[in-house]
Amino acid sequence: MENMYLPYRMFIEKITEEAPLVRTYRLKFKNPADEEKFSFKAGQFGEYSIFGEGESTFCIASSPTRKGYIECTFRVAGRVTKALANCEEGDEIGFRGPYGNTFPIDDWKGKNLLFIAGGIGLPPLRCVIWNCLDLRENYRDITILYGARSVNDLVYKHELEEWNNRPDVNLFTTVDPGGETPNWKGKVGFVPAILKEVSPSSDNTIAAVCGPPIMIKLTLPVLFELGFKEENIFTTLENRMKCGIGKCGHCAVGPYYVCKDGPVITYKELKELPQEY
Amino acid sequence: MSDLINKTSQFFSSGIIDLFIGYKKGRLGEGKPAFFTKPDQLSELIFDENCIVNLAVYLRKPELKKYSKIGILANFGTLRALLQLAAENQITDGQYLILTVADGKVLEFANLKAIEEYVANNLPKPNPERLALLKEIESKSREERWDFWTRELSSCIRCYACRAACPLCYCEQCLVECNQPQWVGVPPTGLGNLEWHIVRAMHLAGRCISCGECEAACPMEIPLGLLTQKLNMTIISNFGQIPGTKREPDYALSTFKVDDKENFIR
Amino acid sequence: MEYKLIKLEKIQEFINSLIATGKQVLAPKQKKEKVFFSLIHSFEEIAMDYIQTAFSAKSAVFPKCEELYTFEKNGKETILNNPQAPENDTIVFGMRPCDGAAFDYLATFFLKENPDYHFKMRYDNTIFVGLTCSSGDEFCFCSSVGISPSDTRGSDLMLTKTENGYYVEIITEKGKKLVEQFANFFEQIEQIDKTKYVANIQKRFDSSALKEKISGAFDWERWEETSLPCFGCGTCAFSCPTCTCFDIQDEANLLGGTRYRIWDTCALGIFTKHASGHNPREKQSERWRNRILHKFLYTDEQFGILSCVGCGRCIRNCPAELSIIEQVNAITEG
Ligand SMILES: Cc1cc2nc3c(=O)[nH]c(=O)nc-3n(C[C@H](O)[C@H](O)[C@H](O)COP(=O)(O)OP(=O)(O)OC[C@H]3O[C@@H](n4cnc5c(N)ncnc54)[C@H](O)[C@@H]3O)c2cc1C
Ligand code: SF4
Ligand code: SF4
Ligand code: SF4
Ligand code: SF4
Ligand code: FES
Repeated sequence: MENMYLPYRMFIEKITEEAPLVRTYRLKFKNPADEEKFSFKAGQFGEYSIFGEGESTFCIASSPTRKGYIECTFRVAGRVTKALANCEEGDEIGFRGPYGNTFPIDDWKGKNLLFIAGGIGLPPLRCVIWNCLDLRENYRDITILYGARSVNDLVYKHELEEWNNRPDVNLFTTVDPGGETPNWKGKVGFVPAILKEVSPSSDNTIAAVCGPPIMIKLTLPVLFELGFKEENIFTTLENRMKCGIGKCGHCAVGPYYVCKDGPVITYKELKELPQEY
Repeated sequence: MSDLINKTSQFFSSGIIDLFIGYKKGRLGEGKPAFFTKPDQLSELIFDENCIVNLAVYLRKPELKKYSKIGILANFGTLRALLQLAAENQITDGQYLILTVADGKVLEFANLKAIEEYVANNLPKPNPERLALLKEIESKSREERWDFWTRELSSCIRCYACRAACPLCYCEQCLVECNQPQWVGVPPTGLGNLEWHIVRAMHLAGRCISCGECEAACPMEIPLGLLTQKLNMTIISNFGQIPGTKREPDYALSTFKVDDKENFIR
Repeated sequence: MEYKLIKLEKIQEFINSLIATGKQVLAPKQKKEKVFFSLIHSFEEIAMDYIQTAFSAKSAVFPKCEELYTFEKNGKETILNNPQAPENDTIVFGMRPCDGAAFDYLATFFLKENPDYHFKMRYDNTIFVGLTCSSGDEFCFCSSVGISPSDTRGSDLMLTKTENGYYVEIITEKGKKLVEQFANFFEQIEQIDKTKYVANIQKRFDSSALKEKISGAFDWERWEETSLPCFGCGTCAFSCPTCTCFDIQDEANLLGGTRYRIWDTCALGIFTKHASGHNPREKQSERWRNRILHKFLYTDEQFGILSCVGCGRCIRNCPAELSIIEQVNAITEG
């Protein structure tokens, strides 16, 4: 039997500064055999460790269609993330995963996709966005609405540009009022208001929403107004985690373990859960 | 008892309190903490020398915020805790209705000053058995003391029940939960346990009101109250300050005096 | 099933030979006012006169602090090492039937899905010797949760004290092996009727009424009122034979260190607190609710097992004297 807590040893191949205190690490396996056996799906997460400091939970932010590496984007929030942020390219860190369920992108074939993200909520969606873009022929319209507090806080700036230039993606970016710069070309306003303005059709459409709780709370009514059904609205949950494999009890919401039954959940399922997230 | 129940019931009916924290009969006949929100529940209210839990520990519960005025039935430890909490600006004069029962009579304290006087007049002598135990430990050699404490502390599971039961451990974030840096090792291994007990004892030195709740709550039977008691005795003998007897700040370890006898502080 | 007898005068020799052959014997032992499962070095240390130990023997398979692995730093490389399996068998001697049932639950919890390496390593090396209860107290309620005071669930060998000695039921292969290894202490015997040696444990609540009410109990309006005396010390969970929650923490220096898992509990405020400060279970009443529902509802939904075995420890140990029996009755009464 395998010691599930033993991480893969990874090294940081590339570091991208995304925004203040937000970084993306591209990680590669030190051991080719590990890489061989590793696979994951969109929506899953892992435990990233700095030995001697601890582990932190982040989604895998790169797409499973991009082989040979994984990426994570994290914001410095506490002890482990701070230690992670002190790493340099070439440094070794631990990774165990993938854990959790996935976005059912096979079921989404032939549908329109609407991705709505706020702030540091884009990383989990970036994975599924690239996954769908790499299988572009499977899906119809793809619309992305992304908002951050200020221009500086937008993550994946280079990719936003790339998506913006693609004819097969409708991208709307927005910043909170006051967060714009003189040459900002996107929108100004909160995500729910911009969603109302853009007013995408709910017909044959799946919506995936990720972001701070307050954004999700205010975005949902707009989606319902647009005619989205509860079972077609997806989000990801974030609860404190330790083990990632349904043992330590930290992430439990009633009988539901975010780490193994989630983190991907439809609004319909979410409504059934006790409010403990 | 009927006097106590009648009085308390009047406080409810005249709208003076909407919550009363007291005791009811526990599993072995001793008092266990009880919360009364209606006068008709008061028939269960009891008070005697077996009501030992320090009810002041509950005052920090966020669940109590919704009550407009709380009454509390205070045993001696609770009274001292209330004074110490006042001295540390955690509670204010008049914030609670405070009762006790002495010689069969219900006493209502008009203010903290009244509690101060009551406590001053009734301060008990330290328990001789405890003193003997302390003496015994003090008489050991350094190595023996080290062995004694490492052995006792090795069974600590770091549940922090001692902290949860202490009316004066009210910090929003305890030092052991600060992880940047991680001052105190979290795993219940030798070093972390030692660090935890030093931190706990030091943070209560001169503040511990000797109610014994920490030791009573410890599920592992660790005599951890001895540590705080020893530090307290040192403070009392050096500075004459007895914790939980004054409603104003009077704390040796945070007081600066120009004529301090120690050089390093001047 | 096979049955044996250990004569009263032989039990001491039996235990001492277990120890002599290098087995780690965990048995009830007096420490000040309470009895704890502790490593014993001779039969005399075993406490006989007690209702239930203060803590369960779960630490035999799920220690309060356990190495997940160690790491050594070697320049930019890190070497990871699996923990060593214990060299010798552990014998848990004299556990109560409720605790046996608890080990059964623990095995399901740890091994059914995502099997746990560390648990298995210890579990496989542990032999459980149960002891039928001849008496109980008002906090014992195994019979209310479907367990009997002579239940053999989770035991490899089950002992029942009779006038002639300890009557032994051989429950598993593991138990059989142990008996074979120490055959000279055991005598062949026919099956006996245990009834007269078994305590009569009253029902403290109606489990079918509870089952009806508990699924909707999350929104029950009396959680706060009934949990006011709880000050979140966690003792109920630490001493509970079926609480499995843990934290993961590192201890290290510049050369390397250890990643541990250590007991943790939903009774404590920081258990669910995010780095942002947001806490899904802000109040103690919400934590208490989680505990009760986890025991009586959530594990039932997950595994079809109630994870409260009715040992009564949480009641005996609670400094505020909260009672899970009273709580359950309050829920069933509405
Ligand atoms: C499924 C999932 C996916 C996530 N994805 C991302 C991501 O892509 N990018 C990102 O920046 N953050 C993400 N988070 C949040 C991230 O895990 C926390 O911000 C981070 O663990 C806190 O860092 P720390 O260890 O430095 O903080 P500390 O305060 O030192 O945390 C100590 C421990 O608390 C736990 N913890 C604290 N806060 C949180 C939290 N908010 N959520 C979960 N556990 C927490 C961790 O287990 C950590 O080991 C995700 C969380 C979950 C549950
Ligand atoms: S109550 Fe006892 S076991 Fe728990 S942390 Fe305090 S000393 Fe340790
Ligand atoms: S033992 Fe009692 S006071 Fe401590 S957490 Fe459990 S219920 Fe609360
Ligand atoms: S919840 Fe209480 S009675 Fe039930 S198994 Fe745990 S400690 Fe025993
Ligand atoms: S969630 Fe709470 S009650 Fe359930 S096993 Fe964990 S600590 Fe025990
Ligand atoms: S993170 Fe441990 S149970 Fe989910």
